[in-house]
Amino acid sequence: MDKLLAVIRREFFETVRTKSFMISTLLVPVIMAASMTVPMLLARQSGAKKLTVGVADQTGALFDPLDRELQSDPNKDYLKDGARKYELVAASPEQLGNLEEYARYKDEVEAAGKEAQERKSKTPASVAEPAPIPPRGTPPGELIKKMKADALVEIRPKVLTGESEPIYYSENVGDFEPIRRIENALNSVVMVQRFEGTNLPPERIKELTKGVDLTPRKVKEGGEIAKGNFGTEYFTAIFFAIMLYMMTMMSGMALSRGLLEEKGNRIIEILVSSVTPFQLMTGKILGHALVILSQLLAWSVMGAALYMAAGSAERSAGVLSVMNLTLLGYLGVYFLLGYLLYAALFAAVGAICTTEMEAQQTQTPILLLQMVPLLAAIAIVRQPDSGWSVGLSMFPFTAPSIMMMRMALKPPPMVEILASIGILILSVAAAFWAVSKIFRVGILMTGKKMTIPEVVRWLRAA
Amino acid sequence: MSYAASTTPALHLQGISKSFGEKKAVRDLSLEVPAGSVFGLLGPNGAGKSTSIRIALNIYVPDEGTVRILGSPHSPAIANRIGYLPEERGLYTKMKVGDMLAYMASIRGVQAKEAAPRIQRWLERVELGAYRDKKVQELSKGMQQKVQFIATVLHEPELIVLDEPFSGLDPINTNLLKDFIVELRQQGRTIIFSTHIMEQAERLCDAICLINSGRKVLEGSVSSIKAQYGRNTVALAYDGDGGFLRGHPLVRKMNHYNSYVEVYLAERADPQHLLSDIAPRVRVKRFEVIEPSLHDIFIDRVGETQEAAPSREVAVG
Repeated sequence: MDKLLAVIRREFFETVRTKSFMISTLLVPVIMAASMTVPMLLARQSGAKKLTVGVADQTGALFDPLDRELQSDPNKDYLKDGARKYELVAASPEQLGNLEEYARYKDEVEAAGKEAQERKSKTPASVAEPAPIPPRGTPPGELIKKMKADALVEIRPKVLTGESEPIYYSENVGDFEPIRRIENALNSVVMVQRFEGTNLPPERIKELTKGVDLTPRKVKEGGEIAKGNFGTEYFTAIFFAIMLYMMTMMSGMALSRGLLEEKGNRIIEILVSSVTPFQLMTGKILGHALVILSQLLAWSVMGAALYMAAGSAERSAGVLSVMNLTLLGYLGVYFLLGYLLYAALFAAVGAICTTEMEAQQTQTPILLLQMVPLLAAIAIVRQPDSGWSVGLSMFPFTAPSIMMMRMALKPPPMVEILASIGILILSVAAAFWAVSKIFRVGILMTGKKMTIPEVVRWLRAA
Repeated sequence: MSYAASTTPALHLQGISKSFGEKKAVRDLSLEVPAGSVFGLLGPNGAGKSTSIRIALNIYVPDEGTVRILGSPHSPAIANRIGYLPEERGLYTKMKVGDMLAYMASIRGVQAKEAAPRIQRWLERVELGAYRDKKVQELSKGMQQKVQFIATVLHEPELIVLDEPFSGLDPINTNLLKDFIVELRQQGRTIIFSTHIMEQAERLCDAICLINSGRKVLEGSVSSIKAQYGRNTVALAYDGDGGFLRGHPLVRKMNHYNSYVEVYLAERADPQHLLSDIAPRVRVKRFEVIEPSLHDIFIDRVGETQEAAPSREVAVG
C-alpha cells in the first residue's frame, strides 16, 4: 500500500510540476473562452453594418411596401446609431429590362445545351457544334455593382401567384440574418398584395396570415417544466463527452510516454524488482487521474472567477439549469470509469511499445474508439432511446460518453444505467487484470515490438 | 572468512534456464552465494550474466529452475531487502536529486521521513551535498553515477546486486565504488557483482562463478580456484633461443609478455623437471612458480569451452 502511494505521489507531483501541465491548465480556459466569445463578437459586428439591397421588382407593386416593411421592426431594422440597416435601391426600368434579357438569354443557352445533348446521344459523331448564342442583358452580379449595392433581390411577376420564388443574389449568402429578415418582410408584403381587392385592411391581413411557432419545453421528473432549449442540452451533453475524450487522451499519452522513458533508461528494472506490476500500473493510472482531477478543479475555479468577473451569472445558469446533483454524481461515476478503462489501454500501449513513434501508431485504434461517441453525438441527441443509442451505452468503450449524453438529454431507465455501470466496472477490472499481466512481461522487452499472438500467450500463461 | 560459514546462502539458483526465442541465454545454471561474501559473476560479454541476475531478482521468470533469495522465494517483502543497480543505469533525469532518491527509497519501503536524513548524509559523503535540489540532468555523468549508487543502497539492503558496476566509471569513482563494496561487506552485507574485468574480481571477491555461453564453467572461492591452478604455472625469463619450449612435452600452453613468458605446465608435470631440462639450453634469468591471475584462468577456461562449443549461441547481455 505504501509503495502504491509512493508511485501515485511521484506520478502526480512530477506531472503537475511540468511546464506542459502549467501551460495546458492556463491555456485551455483561455482557448475555450475565446472559442465562445470570438464568434459572438464576429456575429455582432456583421449585424452592425448597413446593407444596401438592390430590388429588381418586376411586379411593379412590391418595392414601396417592402421598403416600409423593412423599417417596421425597431429591433431588427436599425443600427445602433438609429440609421436604417437595410437601404433599398430600386432598379431602373432599363436595368429591369436588362436583367430580364439576361434571364431569357440564360434560358436560351440552357435550352440549346439540352437540345445539343439530345442530338449527340442520337447521332454521336460529326455533328457540328451549334453557334454559341451571343450574351445579352446584364447578369445579376454586374447589376449589383452598377447599383452600388451589397445584394440584389429579384422578384418576378409569378411570385405573386406563388408560381415562382424571389431570388437573393449576393457575394455572401452565408450571413443568414439579413436573408431571413428580407424573406420575412417579403412574405408579409406579398401576402398583402395577394389579398388586394378583398377590402381587408393591411393590418388585418397581417393578423390573419401570422404563422405559429412551436415552443419546445423540457419535462423533468416530478412534472415540473424546465425552460431548457436544444442548444443548452446539446452543448452540455457533448461537452462532457469531449472533456472525457480530451482528458483521457492527454493523460493516457502522458502515461504511456512516462513508461517509455522508464523502459528506455532501464529504471523499469528497479521498479519491477521493487514493486509488483499491479502496484506500478495502478499507481500510475491513479496518479494521472489525480492530475486530471486537480486540473478540472483549477478550471472550475477559473471558470467561476471569469463568470463572476464578467458579471454574467445568467449565462452559466443556462448550463446549470439542466444539471442537478444526481446527474452530476452519475457524470462523475461515468467519467471515472471511462478514464480508468482507457488509461489501462494506454498503459498497455506504453508496456508493449519501445519507441514513441511505435506508441503513436499503436494508440490510433484507441483514439478512434474514443471518437465513436463524438461522431454518434448528433444521432444520440435526436434519438436518445434508439436501439443504437442503448447498444452503444452498454458497450464499455463508448458507454461513458454516450451515457453522459443520454443522461443530459432524457434520463434513461434505471435498469440501463445500472447495467452499463456494472458492465463498465467488470470491464475495468478485466482490463486491469489483463494489462498488469502484459505489463509484467512487456515492460521488459526492449528493442523488439511484441506481436498479438505473444500478448495472447502471456495472458494464457497468467 | 565468513564465506566458509555454513549459514543460509544469500542467493541460491537451482537449474536455471532461460531462452529468448531461439537464443538460450542461460542453461541449467546452479550457484550459491554465501551470505556476507562479495561474489563475482564473471564471464565474457553475452555470457548470460545480466540474464542470470534478472532472474535472481524476479525481473525475468526462468523457463526452468528455482530461485531462493535471502532464504525464500522472491516476494514483495524480500524486495525491500535487496538493492539493485542495473547494467544500463538510468535515472529520472527531470526529477530533483533529493526527490528521486526519496522515491527510490519509498518503493523499497523506507518512508520519506526516515529517508531524508540518510539522503543528506549520503550526498554529503560523496560531495554532492549542494545538489539535492538540482535536477538530475544538470549533473555530470560522474555525479549521476554516484547518485545511482546511493539509490541502490539507501534502503540499507542486506543483499546488493550490481550489474557491471565498474563499466564507464572514471578512476576516482572506480575507487569510490571499490571502497563502498569493502565497507558494505564489513557491515555484513552480501554483494553480488558481475564483471568481465578479472582484476577487479580478483581484488574484491571472496568467491566467483565463471559462466560462458549461459553455462557455469567454474565456481568457488578465489583462493581455492587459484590453489587449484597455482602449482601449474611458471614465470620464466631467459636469454637465448627458447624455440624448443614450443611442443615440449611438459608445456601445455605459453603466454608471452614483454619481459617474461608464462608457461602452463601439462597435467602432473613437475616444475623441477622443466627447470632441469631448460637450464643447459638457455641462460635462465628468472624461474618462479606463480599463482595464475583470474584473468589467465578466465582466458584458459573460456577458450577451452569455446573450443568445445564452437557455435556461440548466446548474444544476450
